[in-house]
Formats: sequence, structure tokens, C-alpha cells
Amino acid sequence: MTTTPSDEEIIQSAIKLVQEGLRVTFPVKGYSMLPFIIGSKESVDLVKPENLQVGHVVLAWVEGCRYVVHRIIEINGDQVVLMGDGNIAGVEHCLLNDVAALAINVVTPKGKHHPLYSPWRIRASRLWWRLLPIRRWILAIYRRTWLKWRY
Amino acid sequence: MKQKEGFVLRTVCGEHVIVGEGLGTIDFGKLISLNETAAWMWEKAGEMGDFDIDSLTAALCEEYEVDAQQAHDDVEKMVAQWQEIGIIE
Repeated sequence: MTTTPSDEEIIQSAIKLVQEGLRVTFPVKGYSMLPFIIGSKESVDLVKPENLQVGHVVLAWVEGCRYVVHRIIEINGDQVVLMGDGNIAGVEHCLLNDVAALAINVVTPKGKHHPLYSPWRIRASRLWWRLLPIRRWILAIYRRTWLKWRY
Repeated sequence: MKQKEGFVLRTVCGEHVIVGEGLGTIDFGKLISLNETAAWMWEKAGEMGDFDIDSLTAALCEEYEVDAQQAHDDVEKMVAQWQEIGIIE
């Protein structure tokens, strides 16, 4: 009897390949990284996590209980704080060692790879951080308009 | 016929999969999953380098107790799939 691997098993397989030095294109779920990564439509290219900085999007084991692909908003020693770009509240915590992979590109359904840290995306993500107080409304409009049109 | 450069057999989540590692990237959205026999055939084809349906059929009959005609039909089907996916040339 064939059993379907769990999401966690699939992620762990991807992490193992990343640790071998390979780049893995991995589909992401959910809307927690809007507007920069559209879950269930787009994927991310994952590589070994090195020289991590605030602003990096990473795959990490957080709160000791689940994997997320979210952005680093703070690093204090070996303590890392993450937040989804599409979230309006709530952060996750982990250690540097719990960061399993660094996302370097967002990949569209048509297979185009866009760097996550191009100068304009870095500026956009910083602006997006400053817009946190009004994210809720921007995302509501975004989901009803641009997202529907795009996909 | 031979396997295209960069396509390798790996085990992912307990499944045999062929992944395209040509550019050093594995796309989890495009994994080609194989059963045991198909995985064996892929490895054998890799060992042979240049292969054709007859030589792969002969190898399959040597390894497994199968009817020669059945083996030929199965190999033909498998090779056609590989060609369609674009992993052999």
C-alpha cells in the first residue's frame, strides 16, 4: 500500500537536498507571504542558509513545532524573529540553527525565476514593513483586484 | 538512445524520482516518480550509456522473470514516456 508523504516529510526531503548543496525549487502554500510570494501558485528557490540578514526570506522550524517560509525581521545573537509579509500581526521565533534554507528567488507558474533581493524588491519590502499599520486594507484590496487578475 | 545529461535518480520521501539537476536545481513541482522496476530500468539505461528497446528488454528479462513479449511492450511504453517527458535523446 502506498502512503502519501506528509508535508513535513516532503519539506525534510527538500532540506536534505539543500544541505547537500543543491538548489531546490519548492512550491509554497498559503497567503502569509503576500504580496511578494503567492502561495499555491508560486514556488521559491531554496539554497543553504548562509550570512543570514534581516530581510531574508527563509524556511525555518519555528516555535519548535512547524515549518514556515517567512521573512527575518530581527536577529539577536542566535535568536531569530520572523514574520510573514502577508500577516498583519504575529511573529515566530527560532534559533539560527533552525533556519533550514534561504529563499533566493520566487518562481512563477510559468517557470520564471525572479530574485527576491533585487534592489527594487528590497526597497519594496522595506516600504511594506513601514506600511504594517495599514497592511490589512492594502491586502484586502490586493486580494480582490491584482491577485484575481494575475492568477 | 541515451539519458540526457543532468537527469538523475534519487529517493525523495521514500519514492524513486528522476530529478533534473542539470542546472544544480531540483524542482519539487516537477518530480517524475517511478516504481521499482522503472527505477531499475532507468539505472540500467544509465549504465548502458547508449541503449535501445531491444537491449533494455534483454536486460529486463535477465533481471526479472518476465515474458519476453510483455517485457518488450513494457520497455517500449516506458521509453516512449521518457521521450515524451524529454529526459532521453
